Parts: sequence; structure tokens; C-alpha cells
Amino acid sequence: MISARHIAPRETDISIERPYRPLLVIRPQDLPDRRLSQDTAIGLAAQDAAIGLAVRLSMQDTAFGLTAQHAPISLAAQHARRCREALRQLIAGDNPFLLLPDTPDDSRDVTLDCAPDALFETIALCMFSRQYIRVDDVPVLPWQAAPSPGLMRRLQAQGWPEIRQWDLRHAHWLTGQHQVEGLADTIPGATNQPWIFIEGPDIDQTIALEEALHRHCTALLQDNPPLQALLTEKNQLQKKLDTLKSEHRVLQERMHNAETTIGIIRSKYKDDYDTLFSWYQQEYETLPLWYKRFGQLIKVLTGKRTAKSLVLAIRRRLHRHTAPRSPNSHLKKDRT
Amino acid sequence: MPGLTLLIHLYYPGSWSFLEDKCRAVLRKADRIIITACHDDVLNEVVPPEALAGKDNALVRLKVPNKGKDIGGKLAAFSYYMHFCEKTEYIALLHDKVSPQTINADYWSQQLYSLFSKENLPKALQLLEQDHRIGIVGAKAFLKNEYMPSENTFNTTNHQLLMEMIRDHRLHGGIYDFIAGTIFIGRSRIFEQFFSTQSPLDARAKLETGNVLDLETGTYTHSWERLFCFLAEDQGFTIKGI
Repeated sequence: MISARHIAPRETDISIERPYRPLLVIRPQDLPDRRLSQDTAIGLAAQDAAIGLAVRLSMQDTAFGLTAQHAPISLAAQHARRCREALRQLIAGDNPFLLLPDTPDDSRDVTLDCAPDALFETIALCMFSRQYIRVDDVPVLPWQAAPSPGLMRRLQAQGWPEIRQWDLRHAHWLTGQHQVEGLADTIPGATNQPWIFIEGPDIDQTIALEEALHRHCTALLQDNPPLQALLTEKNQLQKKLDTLKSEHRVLQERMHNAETTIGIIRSKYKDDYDTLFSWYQQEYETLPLWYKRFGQLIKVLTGKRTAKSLVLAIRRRLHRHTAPRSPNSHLKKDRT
Repeated sequence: MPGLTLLIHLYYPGSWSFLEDKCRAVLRKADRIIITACHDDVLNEVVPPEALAGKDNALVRLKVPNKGKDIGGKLAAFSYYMHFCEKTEYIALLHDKVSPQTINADYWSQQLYSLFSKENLPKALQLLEQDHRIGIVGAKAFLKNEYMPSENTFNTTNHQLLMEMIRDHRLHGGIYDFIAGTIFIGRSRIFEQFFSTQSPLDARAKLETGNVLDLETGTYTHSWERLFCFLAEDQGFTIKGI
């Protein structure tokens, strides 16, 4: 059972940033606690072939109002609830995570050539999480057996330009203490901070493996200060580059949207103006002059215009008619 | 059962503080808020309202691709609600109504947001509590009807798509009132019933990408704007403007 206590920084007091990115392989039902790790450098890889189905079962359970108070619940329903709660915590939490669906779901409806809703929707909702692992803003779907084209199509139809696939056979794995030393030696030479999947026989041993790797890397770097300095600088630069790339993507999208809007405004504002102008011409300008002047009196009576302003306007008009005409006076309009 | 889930889609930076100002009443009233946005900077601006402080699962932020404008975000939020949330009596839909392409965008947003003002929100909730035939309440100025029964057509570029969607989802509304702008409050069970058999994400998949408009041709995005209310009518409810 994993908890904040388990994966928070421990007595090893390792202050050096990890030169790798850990992904603790967990079963969602092992995450019943209300709080996940406070160490946001710890990533989680939720493994369960039946996650989607579990969530769907639990969803129906909630929809029909079957709570623990009302009826005894089956083990399957309990499992489903724990899965759902764990995924909810992952989606809303602060730790980076991803899903490890084993394989395309066998229960898919072949007539529809698409993945079953439960699995598809669960993956998509996880990918909507801010913490779901992305590379260059593209969500990652790891697999041991390639996902079905139907599933990939449905995911991509949600608007991601692509879904990055990770073949887990080519990923870095840490599954036993005997691998720690060898793996730690390869990490500093990696071009990027590598993602490392860590999986022990149970959650406690998984955490112990991560601790061992972290300790080993720390000792290695402490023994070699220039390497440590170089790695730190490289990681900082990488983070800056990633941030700039991300900002660039957002700015590009916003600029594209703004350009589209400007294009629309160019034609639509003109159309709106034409509509407004024709309405004015038809509804007001065609009225006889006496009617419009009578309207000014009504405006004064209803308080929409002051008497003073009307008197001033009349005086101006009279003055214009009595004053000698300037050569360009024919250009002026009577603006009643 | 908590009372109100609020689904909010934000696109523009700065929108959260604007909504905090204009829609304070509904933000205070909400028992849960699901916020969707396309970019991190917009989501980072969101400050949990005091009323939700310390409540578990009360404020959820989702980062969604820019698809179907606010409708795409709201459908993603519906999917999250259906999968992970305890059901509430009411659902309110809201987004940052900026519409930079229109001359009178301020008028639109002020009218639409007026539903969630301190004065109008209690009225809307009272209407829903007292009259069980009302399914959705929105701003009166935006209660629209484009349906022409004599010709069985909708007076909009979205006519073909609306007919297609009404047929596909077997809707039998008949009146076809809707709240333009998709800012309203309604009974959750309308949407729960529909989305328990139809995936919100499959509906979302059909929506258009980017800043799409329906000035010349119809879009799934703008058709869904109308369909939310048609769902209520299909289940025997009416749409009310205040």
C-alpha cells in the first residue's frame, strides 16, 4: 500500500536532484490513501489491464446509488471503486503519471472497429490531466502489445496532433536490486534525463528499489563533482529549452487563432456595418423631415433630450440660414 | 447529495479573474467546479474559491486540446463528471465569452453572465425547484428558437447538421428552444441520462478544431450549442429565460 509517508523524501536525506525520472509501477487499487506523494519528482505508472472496465463498473455503481450503506458490495465492486478513486487522485494530483494498459481490450466490439468505451474514456480522461506525461506536449501511451488502430484513432480524434507510443520492451526497467548499480552507471551518459520504470514484487519493494537507485546515483555524483555540475547545468538548460518550446507552441496557436479572427473581422465587421447602415437608411432616413423634427420634441418631452440642446440646435440652424453663404457651404448637411 | 456542479471552459489568459468578478455568486454556490482550458498559463490563474477550500475533489483542472471551443471543453468535463464525480442536482455551464469577432461582444457576455449574478442565480434555482417541468434556465435575451415548423427546418447554417444529430440521437423535442451562448443552469439528470448511453468524448471527437465559426457553413460545435437544450426538451422539460 502506497502513501504520502512511503514516497516522501526519507532518511537518506538525498538533496541532489535525480539524474533520471522515476516511474513507480503501481496498481491503482494500491493507492487508497487520500494523498499522493508530496515529492512531485516521483512519477507513477498505473498498471491494470482492467482499469477502464473497473471505472465503468464503479460508475454504474455510483449511478444506481449503491453505496456501502445501502447494500453489501462485491469484491469486484470494491476493486472498481478503489481503481476509480485512485485514478481520480492521479488525474487531480500533482505527481506526473501515465497509464500502462497491457494490451488492446479483448472485449472490444469488433463490429464498431473501436476500443470499448470504458478503456478509451479512461485513457482519454487521464490524458486530459495536467500531470499526464507528455513529450513536447504530446501525450504518451506506453504498451507491451501495440494498441489497436481503432483505439489510437479515437484518442487522436480528441484533438492531440499525435499520441506518442512507447514500446515498453525498449524502456529502461528496474525490477531488482542487482540491476541498480549497472543502471546507475548508464544514467549520467544519457542524452536526456531518462524515464525509468521501477517495479518490485510489491509497492514497498518498488519504493525501496527507487531509494536504492537514488542513493547510488547520489553517491556516484558526489564522488565526481565536475560530472555533477555538468549534469545539473544540462538538466537546467533542458528544462529551459522545454519551457521555451512549450511557450512557442502556445504562442503559435494563439497567433494562428488571432489571425483567423482578424480575417473574420475584416469581412464580418464590414457586413455588420452594411447591415446597420441599410437598417438606418430604411428605418430613419426615409422618414419625412417634419416627422423627424416632431420626434425631437417627443424626445424632449420624454426626457431623452434636454430642451436647452434642442433650442441651441434650432438657433444654429436659423443662424446658418440667415448668415451669408461661404463658397463650400453646399457641402454641409443639416444634421437635425 | 451536493447541489451544484459547475463546468467552466476558459481559453483566454485573464479570464478567471474576469469570471470571479462577474459570476461570483455561482462560484460561491458551486459544490464542485470542473475547469477545462487548452493551456497551462490559463489553468495556473485559477484560484480555488473560498467555499471549496479543503473539500476533496471540489476543484478539478483539465488540460484539453483546442477542439470545439467551449463545447469541446464542456463535453470533456461532462465525461469527467460521469466517471469520477458524485452526482449533483444541478449542473451549470459557463465559459469566457469573449467573441472578438463580434461588434457587441460585451453585450453578449454581460447578458449571459447576468444569470449568475447575486440577484438572478437564486431566482433561477427557485424556478427549477418550484417548477419541475423546467429543465434549463438561461438569460432571457438569449432564449432563441430557429425552428420553422411549417417547413420543418432550422433557420441557421447548422440546419443540416441539426437534423442529422436529432435523427441520430432520436430526439423528439418538437419546440427546439435553446439558450444561445451555452451559459445556463440545468438539471443534471438530463445530461446524466443522455451521457450514460452516449459518450461525451465521442460527441467531442466530431467537433471542429480551433476558432471555428458558423457564419457561412454549419458546424458540429455550434449544433451542439443547441443540442444541449434539445436533450432537455426530448426528456419532456422546457427551457426558461430570466
